[in-house]
Amino acid sequence: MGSAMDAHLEAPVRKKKKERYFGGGGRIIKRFRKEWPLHLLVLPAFVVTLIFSYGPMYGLIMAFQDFHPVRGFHGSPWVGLEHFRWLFAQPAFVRTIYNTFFISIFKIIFSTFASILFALLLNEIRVAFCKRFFQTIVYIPHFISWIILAGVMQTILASDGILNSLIMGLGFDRVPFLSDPSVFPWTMIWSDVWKSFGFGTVVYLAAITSIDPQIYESAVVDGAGKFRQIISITIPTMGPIIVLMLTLNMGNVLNAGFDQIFNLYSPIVYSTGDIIDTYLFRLGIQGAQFSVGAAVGLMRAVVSAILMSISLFFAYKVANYKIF
Amino acid sequence: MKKKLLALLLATLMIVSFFAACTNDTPAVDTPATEAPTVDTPATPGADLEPTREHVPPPEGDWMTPFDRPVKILAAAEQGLNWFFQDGDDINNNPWTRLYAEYLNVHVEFEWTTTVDEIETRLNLAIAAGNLPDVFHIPRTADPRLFHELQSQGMLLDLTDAYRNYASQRIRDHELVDPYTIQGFTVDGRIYGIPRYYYGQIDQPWHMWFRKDWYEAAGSPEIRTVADLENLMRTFMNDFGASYGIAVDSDLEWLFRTAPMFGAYIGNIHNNEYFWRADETGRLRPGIAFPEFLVALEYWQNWFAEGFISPDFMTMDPWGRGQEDIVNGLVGVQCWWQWWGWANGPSIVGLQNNDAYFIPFNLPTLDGSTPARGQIFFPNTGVTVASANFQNPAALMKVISLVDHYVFSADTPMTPADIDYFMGEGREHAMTQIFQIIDPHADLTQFQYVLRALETGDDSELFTGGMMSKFRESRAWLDEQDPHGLGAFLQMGFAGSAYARSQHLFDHGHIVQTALWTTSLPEFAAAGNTGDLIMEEVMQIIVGNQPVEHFLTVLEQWYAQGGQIKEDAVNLHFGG
Repeated sequence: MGSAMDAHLEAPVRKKKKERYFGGGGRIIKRFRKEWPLHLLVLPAFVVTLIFSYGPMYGLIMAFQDFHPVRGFHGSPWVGLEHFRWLFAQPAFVRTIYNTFFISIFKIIFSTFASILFALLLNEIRVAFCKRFFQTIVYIPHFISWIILAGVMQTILASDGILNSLIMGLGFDRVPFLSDPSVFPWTMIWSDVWKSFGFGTVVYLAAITSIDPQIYESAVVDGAGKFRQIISITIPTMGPIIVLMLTLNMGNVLNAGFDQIFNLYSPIVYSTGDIIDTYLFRLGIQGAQFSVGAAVGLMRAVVSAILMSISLFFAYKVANYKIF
Repeated sequence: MKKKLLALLLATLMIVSFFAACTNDTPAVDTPATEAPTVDTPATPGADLEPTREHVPPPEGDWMTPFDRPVKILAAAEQGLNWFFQDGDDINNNPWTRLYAEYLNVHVEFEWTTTVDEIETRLNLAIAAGNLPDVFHIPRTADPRLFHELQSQGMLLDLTDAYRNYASQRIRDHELVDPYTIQGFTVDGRIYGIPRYYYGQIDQPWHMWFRKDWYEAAGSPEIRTVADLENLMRTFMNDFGASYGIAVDSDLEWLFRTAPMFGAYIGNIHNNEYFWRADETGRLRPGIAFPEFLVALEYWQNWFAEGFISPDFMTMDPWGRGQEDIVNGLVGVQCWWQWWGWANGPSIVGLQNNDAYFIPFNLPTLDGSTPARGQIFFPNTGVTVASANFQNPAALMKVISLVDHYVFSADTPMTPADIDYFMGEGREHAMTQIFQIIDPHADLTQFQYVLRALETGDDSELFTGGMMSKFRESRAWLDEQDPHGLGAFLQMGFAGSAYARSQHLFDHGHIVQTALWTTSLPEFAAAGNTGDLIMEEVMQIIVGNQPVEHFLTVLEQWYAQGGQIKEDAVNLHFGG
């Protein structure tokens, strides 16, 4: 009884809400007539998205077929979930899931921490030139492709490279940065942090500069030092943006960095460095196993969509950030 | 109103731009042709007519008789990134395409070209679009099912009659030399693809290459045993400043090719290519399943521990740092192909000195009684096929025969002056890729004639463009120290050349051939990628993270993860 009553009471509210968005029957046509040039402007982007983003999704059907290009989508035999079963029977695939999450999550954590820390330090520099100089220096690696950086890093991190020469000069043993399975993931993590934290710094610095200076002035009056100001004012004020950045990054957690890892890994570090994307590349592209490749891709897309939804939900709940 | 008009205009512009970008019409560019040397070609009747892809009745007479009216072949092929054309020439207008037109009245136009790595993807796209070119090439690296799928779906033309009636006798005689290869492209007695064959088995054995100036300064010691080799590597490291002993790349191919020293025959695992031979029960098994491989692993593990193998080998790209270290003088030993001189010759001579190039030797063995056996894999380099809609297969056979006539025949009309025009700067490969059926004896004959001509100084007996080219390049190195001549010189230009070493192996029966006499088998597709497991675990063993015995467990995993499928398939097709 109660629920029927509720439904009756809520109906006008829902109708009102619907009208606000869609304007009711005739209003849609009226609004379209008024705004059709804007719709026309959107049309090319809409068509492009339809063709290049939604159209290819049809190809995912090959994940359930023994696909061969000669037979095409319609002629290739249907095998159901066979490729998924085969995949999960492969130890090499199962470990890529763990590796992907491990590398990706630590990249997010350390990158966020480094960005915040550097933004706080940068904010304390009073000479504008120095501030801009250091900001530019840390921002530059963000624009360099991993193809180029991989070559540089292989030279720097080689057994006789500059870093190992330094380490050995200090009396320590040489570190096989790129060839020891236990070291390789950390090499990927810190090198990515080095490359990307400059970009994060810009975002956090923008958040810091938007804090009302009067709050700091009040704190000074109350006797707060620099460190206390950072702990009690800056970081809490940055809270929402930190949470927002973290949650948005979590939605991207399955992108552990194909460009970086593909250009730096080798079979000896597959056990800890092989991620879903590199495995997918070797299987689907190099090995021409289109169906299995599509199965991996489909699974990855589904998990990504779930993670993205969760992260957007939290971004809305915690930081009031909303896309839809 | 103005705003609406502007929006309309902009939107229209964007839509038009979008669709314009999606079309692939490219304007034809008229390029002036290079002046050709005088080639004695038959008259081309009907040359004033437009070339057609419709059926044109083949003319009476032998393969040399031109068509009565111009025939057009729409082709597709892989194209090397380093191919050069003379000024004004391009893939559709070059010495070879002009030759086809002038000699046979056949006009070849390439619908598309792409790199070797991309050819299979482009073919798949063409198949999906239902737009196969008239003639195309399936490379040996392609999916093993591709040819059979195309044939079974009726997408390939039956070339049997055209092959029997319009290919030259020379082309058809290749079947006598190698009767097995063409059978791989024959279904129910009908031929659906013409194999490209290969330059000869003489180019297959790998050699141990030593840096010449270091080797001579070390007293040119005879390297008959593995221990001799280890001593030489030690000498290079201790006395000549080598950072490590032997070049090993991240694909491990350079290392795996040393396995015959230990009686093991492995193949190129990185590309999922295994070497198959019978065990004591007669069952065909991959080289990694033989106990000799464990011996090789033990040596390689010791080599790494002793510093003979670079600690960074696992990150050394074979075409990157792997070769850079050689050129930079960091290593003086490498197991490699017979064409070492082309790969590294000019660079190392330019950067080090004129005697810093590497010279080839046969691989030593553990006891040193004989050299290690040369490994022979299935050598066919691909297959030329025609789409089912192609109307003029006779034209294809005639062009194939013409290319063979020019490049390999003793009656070649090419003069020494023509060589540059047709074959200079890689044009031989550039123009004839899909129309070149290689003479399986080409390199052996070439080696014998070129070496004799260099020894006697008489080049009058050289009869193919390839021979004249190799002779001239070798002389350029000998007379002028031109580093671009090192490739030919080290391959065949002296008694210690790579081919001379290989010839010794063939003459004395020190050869072992894989049982898998095809590139791959359709069943292999279900086996997946079995190479990753071997690559990963062998690296772990080499660096000492795992004991050699660990490989026995790895082998069990390999069988469980697809190896058994491969072994069963090989035994099904080639066993017994």
